[in-house]
Amino acid sequence: MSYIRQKEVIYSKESNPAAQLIPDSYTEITGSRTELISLNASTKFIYRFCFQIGLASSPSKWFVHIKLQSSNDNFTSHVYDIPGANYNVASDTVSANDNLYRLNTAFFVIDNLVGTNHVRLVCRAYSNSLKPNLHESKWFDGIYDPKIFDPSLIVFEV
Amino acid sequence: MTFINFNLVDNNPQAVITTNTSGQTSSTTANTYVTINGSEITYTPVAGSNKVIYEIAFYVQALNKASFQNFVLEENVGGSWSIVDNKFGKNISAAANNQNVRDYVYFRFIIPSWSGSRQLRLRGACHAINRHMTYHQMTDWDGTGSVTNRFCNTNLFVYSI
Repeated sequence: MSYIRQKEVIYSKESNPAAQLIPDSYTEITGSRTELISLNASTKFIYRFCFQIGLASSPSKWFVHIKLQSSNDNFTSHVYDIPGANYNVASDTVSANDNLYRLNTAFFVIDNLVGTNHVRLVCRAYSNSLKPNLHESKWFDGIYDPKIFDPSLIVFEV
Repeated sequence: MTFINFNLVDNNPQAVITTNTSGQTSSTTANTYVTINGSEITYTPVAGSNKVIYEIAFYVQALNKASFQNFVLEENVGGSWSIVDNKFGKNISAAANNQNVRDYVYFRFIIPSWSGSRQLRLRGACHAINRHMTYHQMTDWDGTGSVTNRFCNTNLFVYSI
């Protein structure tokens, strides 16, 4: 028997999510989780997640570790860091506040997943004094006017 | 009429993960380009395609210094490497003294397609002496500094449309 299996394509966008004040313990980034179904380990997926990183009320600088995780039980108990799928992002001034807002794209090629798995992005602050606020920009059009940026996710099989 | 929607990117997609096990330091000399590890690929676009899409992500870091990097996409045509087009150049920097850069760089280039096989690669250089950066290696992780064993993969995805 022969059949055509359509490749997996997933789009999702959060709608007005709550801002996330990221502590110094790993926290799932809203909108980054999805399910992947893979027939074999050689199947590859492109994961592209776009989200906003900005200031908390205080201090006015931040430093985060970000990593991609997988799970075969939707992160109930089996949670795995995907090797090498990790990075840092930080504001750039050594000693002073720098008031940086940044749109970040987490772009990964994923392989070696078999069966049904979930993936997600988690992040933590380097320390309690370097916590960022996700999804929210506090200033817009030249005035203090907090705006939410909706994070978006595209995942597709290649 | 029946349509079968296979994929958005069914035109010879090539997805490559390169595991980095060491940091790669760009040249300290101005305008001396180095090839980003994991950026080089030999690619054949699908016949009849108009564009080739080259997407890449990798980690960059420069601590407590002035830094600047210009990145250019190069192609190998007939055995000779050249910049695809200077208008595709991309810059990142923290150009004042005593600044930090810690970032996951994501670039997408959309370039004209071609016939047959061709190599592509991404190169980086500083515009002035000692404005170099280190690629792929993080020296801070899980709230600890001076880490020596944490690296970031280079993720590359090329396809034609």
